[in-house]
Amino acid sequence: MNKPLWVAVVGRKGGSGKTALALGLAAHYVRERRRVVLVDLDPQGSASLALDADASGEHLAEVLEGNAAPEMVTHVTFLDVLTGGPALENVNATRTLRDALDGVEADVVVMDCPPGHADLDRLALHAADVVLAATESHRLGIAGAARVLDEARTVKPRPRCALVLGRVDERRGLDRAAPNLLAGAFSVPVMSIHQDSRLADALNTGSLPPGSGRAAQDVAAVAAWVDKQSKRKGDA
Amino acid sequence: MSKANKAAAGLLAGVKAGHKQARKDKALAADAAHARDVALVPLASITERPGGDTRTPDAEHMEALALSIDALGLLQPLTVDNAGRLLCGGHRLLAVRKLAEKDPDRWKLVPVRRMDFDAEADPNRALAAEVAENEQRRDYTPAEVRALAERLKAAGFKNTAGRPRKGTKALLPALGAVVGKSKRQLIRVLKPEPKMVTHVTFSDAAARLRRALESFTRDAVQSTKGTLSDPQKRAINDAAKLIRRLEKMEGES
Repeated sequence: MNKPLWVAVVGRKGGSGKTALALGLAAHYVRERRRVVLVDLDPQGSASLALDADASGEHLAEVLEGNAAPEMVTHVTFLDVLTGGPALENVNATRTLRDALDGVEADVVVMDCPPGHADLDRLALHAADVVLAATESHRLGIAGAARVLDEARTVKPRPRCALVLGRVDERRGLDRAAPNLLAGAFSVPVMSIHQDSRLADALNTGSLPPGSGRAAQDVAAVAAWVDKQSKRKGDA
Repeated sequence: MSKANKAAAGLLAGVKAGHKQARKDKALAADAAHARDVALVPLASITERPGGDTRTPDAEHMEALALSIDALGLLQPLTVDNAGRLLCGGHRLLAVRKLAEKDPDRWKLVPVRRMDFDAEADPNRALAAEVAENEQRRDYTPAEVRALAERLKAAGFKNTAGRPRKGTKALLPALGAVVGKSKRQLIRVLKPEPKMVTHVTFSDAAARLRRALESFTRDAVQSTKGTLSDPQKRAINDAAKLIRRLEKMEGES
């Protein structure tokens, strides 16, 4: 059995496009016939809610505290979800995510992180092979991304990181200015997910993000970059 | 200020605020980890590692530690299993025992972090705990190192050039034993004046370049009022790529 690739989607600020990116990636991998486990680390259970799963359970918190073995909810073939919920807010994790999910069969584990919760972010950063910091092209989101990218470098000496700008619309000056500016300021690759109402519609209706459209193409580019990092990891 | 310049300055203010918050996060996490699960227990209750020390104790390191623990107290608690067997801190335990020979009352109780497993039943986990602590040893900031140096100086330690004369308390070995930094690193921290760099690691170099690029980008954005030319953008992107390659080289070397 191949070891899964662990991808953390972080951002610290709420509404920065983390869940949309995490679900977009999950949908992309499922379409490639790769087995995905989506870990919803959000006390608000956004990813669970977007997939019509229970967003009020205590299961993941119990798994992290070492009191339960992970049980997934299968959304579609190839996509299993470890649902989040309010109990995560005050979770006192006694084991790492990798230990908690030891033996779970998957090709990719996508971790959707919560807004404003350093401890839960740290759990994900610790497990991650690749870290994607999601933000909009705006000071308030950028601050959260900077904060969490710094954290990623604290947790691991050389994490594979990228910044992913969400809801990009080049008619806005900020969206035109941000990519180059932030590539220089962070010295990490900067990628964009364009504004796409089909993505928002999917999150609102309990279905997976669509396989075509502007956002789907952008997510595919992010997934390609992630795969490149994982190959590099294999070489080392 | 032009509209574009204002927008760029706004984004960069976000970057700066985030970095500052991250530094605070790091300090808070370190303090929390430090305070968690630490209790005072009798020194006599701490027993040897099952199977003895993983590394042969370094007598010189132990002497330096004893001197600094005498002056500063035991800053980093020992780690023990649920039966009080030592997991991490072999040198620290030897140093404290040595100090206790002279002053048993002062060292009757020592701070320990207790891990909830049995090292004899689970030797792999014991080894993992030891390795993890050595890897995650708290990284003292330059300001903290300087503060500790001041406390040691107040306790009579001296920073003298060359080999210390017998009977004098040398600052750098004692400080190094506590914060886990080499003499060269300490000299750099204690004397922050710029000097010739003869040896830097890839990650040092990458971190410096990263900072330089950040400040260059800020200046460039300000001087061009937010409208960077294509060659400027290319230069910034190229530099960012080189920095990433440098970091990667360290991973592969």
